[in-house]
Amino acid sequence: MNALRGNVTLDTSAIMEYLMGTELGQTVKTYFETLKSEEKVYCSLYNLSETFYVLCRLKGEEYATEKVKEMLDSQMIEIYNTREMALETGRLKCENAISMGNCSCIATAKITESRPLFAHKEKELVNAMKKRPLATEILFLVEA
Amino acid sequence: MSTVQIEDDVKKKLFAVAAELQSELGKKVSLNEAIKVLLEAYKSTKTDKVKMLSLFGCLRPTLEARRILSELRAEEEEGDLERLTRKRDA
Repeated sequence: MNALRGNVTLDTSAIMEYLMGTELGQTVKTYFETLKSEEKVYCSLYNLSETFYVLCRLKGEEYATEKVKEMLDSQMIEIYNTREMALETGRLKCENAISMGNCSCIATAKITESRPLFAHKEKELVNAMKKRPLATEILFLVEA
Repeated sequence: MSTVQIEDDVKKKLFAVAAELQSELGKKVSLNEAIKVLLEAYKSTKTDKVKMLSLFGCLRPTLEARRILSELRAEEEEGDLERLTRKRDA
């Protein structure tokens, strides 16, 4: 994909690619390196839990705690946890066959007027997008 | 909009910042916008880009991470499909 710009909401899948240091994650790294002061990076509270969960399953609780803490301490990512986001997440989930994680990322992006960023074009997400628009523009690190 | 009380010298400095921004941007800049810019500048001094960048690649690339996340989400989505199909057929 082209270089990322503007306000972005990171899905767990994009965060994982970054932490794994993959080619896809490199796009996120470049975005962080060149982040302008007016650009904001968001992540939903739910996606933060998912990130912790994946790290915990892979490397244990201590590792997950340490890495998530470092991510939060950097203050590069704003964790979004409003009531409005919770309700919008539930509404999206009610109407679509997509995971709560995907819904919370899209809901956060909608409310913060940013663009949700996913790693892959997941089948369920693509099917849901075909039925009705979920957000103004959804970004993917890679085309399916 | 709400009222914020500030001392005269702070107000003067705020007007000076707004004027500077105005000449930089070539458009009218309100005090609200000037405060916003100052808050952003303050925030950027607090962020630790190096710390965030040091996390890049801290996990070795592993299919396991992708599998765990996709399993977590797939379980939900299967249930959703059944639920929405039942709702549509009802």
